Formats: sequence, structure tokens, C-alpha cells
Amino acid sequence: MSEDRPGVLKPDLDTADAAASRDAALGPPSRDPAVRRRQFEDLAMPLARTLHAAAYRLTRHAARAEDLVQESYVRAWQNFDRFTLGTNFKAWLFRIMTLLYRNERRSAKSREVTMDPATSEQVLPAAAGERPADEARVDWDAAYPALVDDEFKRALDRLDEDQRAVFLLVTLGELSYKDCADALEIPIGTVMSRLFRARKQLQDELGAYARERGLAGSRGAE
Amino acid sequence: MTAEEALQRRQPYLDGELSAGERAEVEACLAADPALREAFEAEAAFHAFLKRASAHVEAPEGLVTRLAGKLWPPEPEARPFAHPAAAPLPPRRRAFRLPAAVSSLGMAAAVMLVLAGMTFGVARFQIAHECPYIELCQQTHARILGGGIPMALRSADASKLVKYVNTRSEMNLERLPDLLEFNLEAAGAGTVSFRAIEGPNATFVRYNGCTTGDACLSLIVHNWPEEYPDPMNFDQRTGFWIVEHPDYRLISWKGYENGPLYSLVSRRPLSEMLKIAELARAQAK
Repeated sequence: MSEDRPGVLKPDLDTADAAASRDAALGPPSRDPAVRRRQFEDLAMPLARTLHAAAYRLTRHAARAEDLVQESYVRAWQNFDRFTLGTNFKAWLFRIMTLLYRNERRSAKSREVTMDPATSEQVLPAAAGERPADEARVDWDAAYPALVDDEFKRALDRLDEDQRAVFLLVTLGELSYKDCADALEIPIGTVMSRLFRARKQLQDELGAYARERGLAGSRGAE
Repeated sequence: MTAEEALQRRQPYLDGELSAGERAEVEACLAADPALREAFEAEAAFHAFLKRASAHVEAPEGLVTRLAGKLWPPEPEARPFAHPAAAPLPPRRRAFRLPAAVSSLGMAAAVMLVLAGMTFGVARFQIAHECPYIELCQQTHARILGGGIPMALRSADASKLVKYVNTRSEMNLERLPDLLEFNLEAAGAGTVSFRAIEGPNATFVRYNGCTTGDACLSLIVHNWPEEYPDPMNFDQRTGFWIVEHPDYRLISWKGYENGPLYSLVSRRPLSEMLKIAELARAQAK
């Protein structure tokens, strides 16, 4: 990791999970039931709210979200032997939740065959290289209170479900592209393209709304 | 690396997905191009906004407590049985199916009223026939009494509690039994989920007055068709399904046509519970 990277642009490499992973010795959970339970509690319980937020954003249904979280925790506890202490528990838990959600979706209806044009060779959409729009830039910090509830929810709901899943796994779950690809059983390139498109769509919709509401930053158009 | 190439990599850069070499190249471009740096900063601010906004979901009250209760349910005092979330339900014996109209109610839901109270006469029935539904009722009752299921809504306002129950369980209750006659006052409501994904299976309303486990009563109202009591337990004379177990008693009745099933479970003498059940049946329709 570069030591002199400007703070605002510093990639999110040093999350709490990553730090915890470094601090913990690699190995299986304890065989002592009490210790083992404490290990699980220490890792899992602080993530409950984040996992619930992701589950809610995925299912868009409060009751289903809580059930999905509960089932994820049950599965995680049942399979805790398979987890290696010192690795990324958050990614592991989010992956379990994603698998359960996908299974639920599969059983609820015949799974759609998604014909995503992105492939591993098509790493980034062409638009990724474009300079950001020359419209007035939004001050996202200032816009947060006005956008966070209804507008953000509506914009998120309008995302394609596959895009939303990738977006949530990376954004809330802090999964790496590879972990996300593994969880969703798609190529990394597809993760990248879905993520890019999701962010772009959100930026377009929320940005337009913010500008309409006069929330564009003072830096203004170029 | 050109500025355009660096710009293409702004998202993987900010997501920490670039190799050390690529990061160094991007950072060299950023140092040389203020406009590029400004674009990256705007992207970073937007990513931060998205993360913050995505996480802006109010977690249900008691979520962690319910998770713990689901993972490590308190040991039943006298008759342990497996938690349905951790192990499949046992095979049903003589499964009783309600008419299709009732079955079509769909997602399971329940209302649990925890009551305390009274002393009445003597037991008249000695029936002990088991089915998963009975175990689930007893288990939920034990978990509430053990503090394993917290109240999500604390209120004595019956209308608020009914609204909560209806919202959480997708039921359509008009009212809850008024048991003030027994000096029992509603204190709050909460939700229990027995099974993941399918939605909440139980919503309970707790009444003040519970001082000991033996004194408490749970009134359950649910439309969980596959878990209805066994017809072997049906008492034609009273119109109740009645189960008497060494550790608890359970009385159930149908609220109204196509409506939910109401049940009482407690360690109280059956005769006492029957009187409460008669009152509750008369009111909770």
C-alpha cells in the first residue's frame, strides 16, 4: 500500500475487518463450546445491523430482511467450523446471506437466465473512461440528509436486481470483487461492470435530484 | 498510464482492488493532473455517500437479542426439544389440514399474549397428544418468559398493539382479548420468527402481571395452517383443542371462519386456563 496517498482518495483497504483479520491468529474456531460461542459472538454480533441493512436493501421487505438475517446467522453458526479465524468474517457472512437470498429467489420462481453483456474480457464499460459529467458537481455530504431516505431508496429500488446485489455486497459488505464474484457465481468482470453501472445510475438519478434541489456544490460546472 | 487510463480505474482504485503497481501509476497521474484528482475526489465523496446511505436502515429493536435467542435458545426447564431453526421439525403425526380457504391464508403469523393471573377450579381434561405446533407454542412461551424475546413495542394501548401485530404478521385482527377483568394490562408487543425467509411466524403482546413462570399464560393467535393441533385433541363438548402435558397445558380454538387459531399455553391448572380461554374466545374475534 502506498504510504503517501492523499487521505480522501485512500482506497478502503484498512477496514475494521481487515484490521481484525490481521490481529487474529489464523486457525479454526475453538472446540471448547463456551469459547467457540464467544468467538462467534465477537465476530458476528457487531455485524447484525449492517447485515440487516443489506438484507433490507436486497429484499425490500422488513420482515423478510430480518428472517434472512436470522437464517444467515443460523447457517453461519452451524458452519462455524469451516470458517478460519483471522480471515474476513464479514465477507463470509455476507456470502452466506447472499447464497440464502439467491436460493430463496430460486425457489420462489424459476430463476431468470441473466444475459449480462459483460464478461471477464469486458472489464470496464466504455463509459468508465469518460470524464465525469460537466454538470455542477453535487456536494454529497451536504446532500446526504435530503437524499438518504426516499430518494435513495427509490433510486436503489430502480436498479436491476443483479446490479443491486453486487452494489450491496461491495458497498455494505465490503467484499472484494473476487469474493463478490464467488458469492454470486459470476466473473469478476461482471462484478465490475454491474458495480459501475449501478453507481452510474445512482449518481445520475441522485445527482439530478440534488441539482434540482439546489444541492450542487459551489465548485460548479467546469 | 495516461489520465484516461487512470480515470478508467477510479472505481477499482477507490475500492482497493488495484495492485500495488497499478495504484502507484494512478497516483502518479493524480499528482500530475489536478482535474483528474478532482474527479477522483468527487467519486470518493460519492462512494462515501452511497455507503452511508445504504447503511441508513433502522434495524428492528431487539435484533441482536433475537439473533442470540435463535442461535442459543434458553434450555427448557423440564422437557427440552430441538429449536426448529436449528433442526428440521419432526415428522408430523396425523397432520390435520384446515380447509383450503384457511390454508390459503399463506404466511404464518401469530399473536402471543402473555398473561398472568388467576386461580380457578380443577382440571377436567387429561389429554396429551403431541404435534410440532404444540412444541412451537410451548417453546415460544418459554422464550418469552425467559427474556429471550424482547418487546419491540412498549405500550398499553390495545389499538397500537393490534396495529403492530397486523403490520408485522400481515394478519387482520380487529381487536385483542380484553382481560382487564383479570387485572391484566397489555404492556407491549414483539415478533418471533420461527423460520427464516418465509416471514414472521409469531407476534406477541405481553400483559403485565407475570411474576413467575408458573403464573404466566401465553395466548397465541396464528394462521399457520400446517402447524394446527391434531384433531385427536379436539374436545367436542367445549369446542377447544386441549393438550395436557406434565409441564404445561395448551388450549386452542378457532377465532372465526377463515380466521386465525387462538391458543393458550401455561403451566397453570387446566381448569383455570379454560375460564380464561372462554373469556378470550368470546372477545377476540
